[in-house]
Amino acid sequence: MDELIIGVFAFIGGILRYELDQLIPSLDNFPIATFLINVLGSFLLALLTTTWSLNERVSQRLTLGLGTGLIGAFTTFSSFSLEIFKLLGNHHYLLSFVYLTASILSGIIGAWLGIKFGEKIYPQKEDAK
Amino acid sequence: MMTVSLIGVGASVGAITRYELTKIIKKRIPSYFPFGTLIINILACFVIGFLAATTLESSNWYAIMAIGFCGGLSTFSTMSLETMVLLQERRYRMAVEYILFSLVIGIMAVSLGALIC
Repeated sequence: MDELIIGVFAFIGGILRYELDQLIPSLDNFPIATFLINVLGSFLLALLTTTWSLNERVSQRLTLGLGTGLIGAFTTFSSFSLEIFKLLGNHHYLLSFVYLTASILSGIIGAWLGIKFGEKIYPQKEDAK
Repeated sequence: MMTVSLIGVGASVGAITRYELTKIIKKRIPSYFPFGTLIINILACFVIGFLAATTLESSNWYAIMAIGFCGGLSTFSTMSLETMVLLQERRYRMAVEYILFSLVIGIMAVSLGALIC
């Protein structure tokens, strides 16, 4: 059952990634689409983990589907690595370094913002004391 | 429309595979270090490298396997969140190692996948 939910949500997540990728063109070889997708996904997963995942009234299956399925399939590490590999192959060394560093840092900052924002809109019981 | 559905199917299978593999790896290697995501991402990098070198980007096979399956199998969001959690727990060295291993071995895996054919 968990697998089915994850599969259905991942179907949507994968297609969303593809459509956004088609919609947003690379700027001067910089893969903006993957960058935005990965940063947005990092923020949303952290937000989900600090809000709905902790709420007993929200189905665990739904948060599993949204987190592991939709957001997990929406973001991608394989395309990210392939893009860096291609940039290196085309001798865009500086650009590949900028892409790599910006993605990692923005991803972590995105997750941090997701946690902070989540804690603000959905304070945990321990914090409320 | 056809391509989009193939990508969706590939992403479904990829995400379910990630879920099952994560459970198995967590059971086999209990650790604070996120071995599950690391191993899965490296595996997906190897497969996408192989596909990029052997199949046309416009083909249905590339859509279902590279964009769909590898994209659904690998994940960037979980990696970011796991790194942030390690940082919050003050496991700074582990966080840095996690990111470095993911990047270095990930890109090496793409190269290896592309070069073995």
